[in-house]
Amino acid sequence: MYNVNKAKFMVLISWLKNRLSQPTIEDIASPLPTSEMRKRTKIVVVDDEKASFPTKGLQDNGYTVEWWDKVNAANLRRLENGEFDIIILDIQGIAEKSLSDTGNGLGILRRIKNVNPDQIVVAFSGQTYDLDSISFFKSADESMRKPVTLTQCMEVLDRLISEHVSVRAYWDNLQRLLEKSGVPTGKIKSLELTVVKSAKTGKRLSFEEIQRIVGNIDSLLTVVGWVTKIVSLCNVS
Amino acid sequence: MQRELINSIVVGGCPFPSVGQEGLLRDGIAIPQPNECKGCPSKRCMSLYEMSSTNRLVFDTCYRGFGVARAVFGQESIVLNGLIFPSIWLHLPRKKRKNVESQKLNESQVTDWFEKSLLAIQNAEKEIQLAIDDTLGMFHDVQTSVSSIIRAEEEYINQQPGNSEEEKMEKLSPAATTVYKATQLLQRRFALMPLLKNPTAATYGKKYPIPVYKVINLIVRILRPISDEKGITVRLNGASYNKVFGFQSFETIPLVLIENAIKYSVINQVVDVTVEDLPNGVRVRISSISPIIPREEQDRLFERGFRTKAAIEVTPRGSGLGLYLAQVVAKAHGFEITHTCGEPTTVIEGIAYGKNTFEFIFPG
Repeated sequence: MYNVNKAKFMVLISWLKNRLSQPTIEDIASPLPTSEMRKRTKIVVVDDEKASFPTKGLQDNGYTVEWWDKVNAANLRRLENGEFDIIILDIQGIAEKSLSDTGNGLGILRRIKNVNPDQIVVAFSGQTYDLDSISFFKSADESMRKPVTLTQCMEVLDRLISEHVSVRAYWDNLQRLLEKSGVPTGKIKSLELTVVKSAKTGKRLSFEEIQRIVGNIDSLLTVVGWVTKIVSLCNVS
Repeated sequence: MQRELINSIVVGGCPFPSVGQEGLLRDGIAIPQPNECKGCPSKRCMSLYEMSSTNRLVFDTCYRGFGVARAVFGQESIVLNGLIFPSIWLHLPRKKRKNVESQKLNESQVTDWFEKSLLAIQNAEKEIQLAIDDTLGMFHDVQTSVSSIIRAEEEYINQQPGNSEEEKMEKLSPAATTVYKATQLLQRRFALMPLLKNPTAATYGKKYPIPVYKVINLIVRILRPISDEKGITVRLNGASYNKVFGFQSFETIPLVLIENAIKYSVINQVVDVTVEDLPNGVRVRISSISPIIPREEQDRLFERGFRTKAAIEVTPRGSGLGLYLAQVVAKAHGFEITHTCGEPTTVIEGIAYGKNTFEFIFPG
């Protein structure tokens, strides 16, 4: 009897040890230096006037920035699915005709926030005098007025990066999204383990692998987006 | 702006007698002040200015039996006095009735005048807004050009030798540095214009910790070409380590106050800017020797479009919008700019100069 209890006890201890030593997001959440964060943070600016935004100046300073002059149906999905850490959006002249039902920058911003409420969007426009644009500026996470200098841009972006772009912040966003989508706690934990392992080994997680863990939920594409962003931010040792 | 509109459309063209808030009796262009009102010691009808009523046009009767009315136009109001309505006329002594026959009027005439005046003011304001909209519409093209200039300048600085922006800036010629500062100033002035139509723009973006001393230091450096031209030294004193949270629009405040101080200062003088931490925030004081502002003008300093008589004489060109916009931004941050004026210390070309101080406390 004593031997059976002892055996059970040892199994329990072994299980506890195993459990306690399981990796968590904190294992991969060490902060990176500013220069590295600038490089790993993916930024897209959507503005039909290229000279309005200091894209080249930011790239010369180590930021990863893409410039688009228009949003169409195809690249709108990329904005909605969290491919970019920060989206900088103009208000007018950026929606292709195929998106006429979406309207201008405000419509696009609303669509992004509807699918992905935690996506960081910066309102970028000179039309701050326009009373009709109040909703656009107030709905965004941050704003920048045209004309803007490189220094001002860098200050805003560095602030956004330090406040919002981190493994911990992204995991919290993802967890919230999964809970809202009704994914059970056990599966969320399982995803956490998989993400940590993926970050440590440098092996990318595929769409199918993520789908197998969380199931075929509506927000699956957005979940994949967040997972990709977390893995790209980790400090792999 | 509205006060001037009221004065020209309403007060200047009012057909009925009226009394101003300061007690000044005015003849109407059609009906003069009755003698009884001229001799009235108390002018109790002025209490209508303090009356709290949501009605834009309110009628009453004064203690001497005359009709009075208060008409409200937006933020301004006017009290009409000495109105002789039929019901009042009938109670006058017969002899008196004959004397004032020509001054008899109906309430409907007052109502009619009020509605027409209100419409005239609304139309005038609409025209003004349209003019502002047209200007701001053209503003977009100018903005695009300014963006191109800023990009070209950034590219030029980037091509200079050096590992950091500071090192590259040091390599610029004095002329290039001046151009850079002028562009920085132009870019910040652009931020002011939209506030005229949309004061809410002062609150765009998220609040973040503002390094007040650093912001003011930058403004002082950007304004150096202007202060140097007048031989004015802008002396920045003090320090600040308190954490205060504000919007991007905050720098509008020191920009306007320091630029004004330079603009109205006597040449070869000093503008003192002091920044200091307080238990409840950060205090900023800007003092300069500039035209004394009389008591009656001090209350209007932050009014949209207002310029003091001395300011107009010293610098004929000016919009009277700077202090108004600075106060808009200050209020968006939860504080107000105050002004104090010292005694005259000198007179130059007939204008008295003394110490003017603008101050605000940015709450922490």
